[in-house]
Amino acid sequence: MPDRFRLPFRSLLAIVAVVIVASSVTGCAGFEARTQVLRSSLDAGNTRAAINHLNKELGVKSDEELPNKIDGEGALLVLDRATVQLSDLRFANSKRDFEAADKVIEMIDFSRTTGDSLATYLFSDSAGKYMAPPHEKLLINALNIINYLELNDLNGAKIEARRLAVMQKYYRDTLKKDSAILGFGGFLAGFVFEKAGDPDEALRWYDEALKFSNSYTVQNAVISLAQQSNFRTPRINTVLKNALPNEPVPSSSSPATPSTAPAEQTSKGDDKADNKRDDKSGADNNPSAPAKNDSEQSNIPVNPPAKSPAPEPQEGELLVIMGYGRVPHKIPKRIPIGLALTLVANDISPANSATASKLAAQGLVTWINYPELAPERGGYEIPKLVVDGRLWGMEESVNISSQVRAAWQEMEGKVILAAITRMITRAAVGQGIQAAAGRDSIAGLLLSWGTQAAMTAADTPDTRSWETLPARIAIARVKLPVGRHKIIVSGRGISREQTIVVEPGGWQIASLLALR
Amino acid sequence: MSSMLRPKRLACMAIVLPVVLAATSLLGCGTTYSSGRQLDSEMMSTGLDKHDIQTLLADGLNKLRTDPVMDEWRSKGGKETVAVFPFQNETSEHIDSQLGAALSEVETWLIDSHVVTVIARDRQEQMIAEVEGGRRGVFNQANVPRYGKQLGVKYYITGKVQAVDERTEDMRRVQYFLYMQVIQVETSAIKFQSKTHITKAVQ
Repeated sequence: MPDRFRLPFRSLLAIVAVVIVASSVTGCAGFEARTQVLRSSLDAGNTRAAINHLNKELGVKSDEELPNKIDGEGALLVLDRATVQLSDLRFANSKRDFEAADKVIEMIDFSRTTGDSLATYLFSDSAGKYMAPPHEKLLINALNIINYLELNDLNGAKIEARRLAVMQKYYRDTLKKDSAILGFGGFLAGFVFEKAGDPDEALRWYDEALKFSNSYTVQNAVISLAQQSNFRTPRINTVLKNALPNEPVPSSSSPATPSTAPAEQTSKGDDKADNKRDDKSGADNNPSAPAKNDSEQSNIPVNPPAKSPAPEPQEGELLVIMGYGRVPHKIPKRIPIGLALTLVANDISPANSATASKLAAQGLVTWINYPELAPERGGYEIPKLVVDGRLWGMEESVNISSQVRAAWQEMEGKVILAAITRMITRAAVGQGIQAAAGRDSIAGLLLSWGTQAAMTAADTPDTRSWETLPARIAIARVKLPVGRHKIIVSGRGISREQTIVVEPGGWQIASLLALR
Repeated sequence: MSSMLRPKRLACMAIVLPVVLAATSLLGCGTTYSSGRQLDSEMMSTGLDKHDIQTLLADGLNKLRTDPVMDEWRSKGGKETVAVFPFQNETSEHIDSQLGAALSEVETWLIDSHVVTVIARDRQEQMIAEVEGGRRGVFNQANVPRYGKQLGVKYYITGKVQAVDERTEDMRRVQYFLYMQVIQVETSAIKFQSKTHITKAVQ
């Protein structure tokens, strides 16, 4: 037999190695492919189908069940289920999922090793453990506050606010980073402590929220609380200074106006919980239905956000939180090596750049795989709040999509660089096999190509992210007279109708995540 | 020299095989990280588990055992009435169920001591509902003195758990402090107070 067709022992080793590699990576669909059904279900407004799909992917049989083993992708699926259950008004289940995912993601952070980075740069984008970006970690606690408020559990909400404070301090003091998510989280935490009877802590959080936006809702809260607390900062002083000219700037020496019920006491109609679960209606199962009251809006008087301070004794308060649209998720992309080198020109080492250019020139590898962001969905929706037939304005509290894009821009260069490094690794392994089998060996050439092909197949773009985050969140605080009121929150073809009972000095909450 | 042993080919094998073998160990459809039941174990969580609760309470109850207020109770022949109210959670961890267990531990300890008469929990809940209003009133720490008076007890035991929670790049540490008090209802005087602490960390 001619030498070039003989298979020496070393070539057999290479064959075995290729088989091992190929067998270990077969069936590796990216995260984006796993959640395709989830996104399609949400686009159709079918939250039940979305939850069922997530249960199937998690390997559990009920909405309340958590898997015994939760890996990085599992934690993201649990987070997705938490968000979808929140949008489906299943607050207890959502709360459970958020808390489970919170702990797992934290543990994953602490368990990352050098091997994870090594694997990402040598073999596959998705080989390393998932590292949640700051906006995701902060939103776990912020969104879970909504669950506790909906469950009328101020103690639990305070605990989530404290957890948010720990992460806030960590990012600011250790990582020297800040996030606009704290504008929304700060508002929620401020509301919690305000209603729990702790005006100092509430003002501290409202001051944090003011750092990221001059929300009218937050400013009103500050003006109201300033009568009960001596806590002041430059931002708070600015708000007080710019208060309406006809209203005296409140000082802590002014008689405090009792604005809330005693600490921990909330006013909830006995039938509110039933109303909330029974009255969820709208287009979540009828995606083609338009938003309600469209034809009547021209006759509906529009009330601006409330300007006056704390509710009078014969008034209560309604907090409305609406998340709408969905943040951009990651999708796999292939780009020519020349374009990739241009994108990472400032980050790649000269040696690697030369190697990659040489490989491209040889025509051996001309494409690299890496993830990119898909467009967001529904970010330009205008959410609607109707109370007793009157339309109320809502303010944007946070643009989560912009946080997602900012986080991606920060890491995009490194991701492409890692993809190029993996390409060089594959080529080096292939050339090594060729050299081991003999330069004139056809078997060696085939093995080299086979190995590179197997490693290319295993190189899955990392499309992991928390895909069910709303693109934007809007808020409103409405003072209402004591008694029963009908509220409708709607957006993206999904609405929530509810009858609430407002008691003197009490508060109610109505949240809706329209994740279409 | 055998073709297998040529230095150049040996060097190629030395590069290729470790890389390929490393790939088989590092590649796969996502990493796995065991949690599940371990989520609640002391090694995997910064929350308080059964052992932590018992450790925190043991020190405080031992101090109470030798405190003058216990001597005072003993002198009354077990006729003094005591209620144990829920401990307040002022931490950043959801440990309410653990604090419920702590409350039961304290009740059991008091009952077993045969020094006081402990008011039953359902009677407490009924009284809280009367004070707060509604079929099932929400416990309000600020109204504890009122609860005590409504119940007609002479003393009540209450407490709170506070924590210092810090996080770095590779560790999260929570330092818990449990404060337990015995308060006389009539005078609102603090007859006994103890502080115990425990630290949990994950890294």
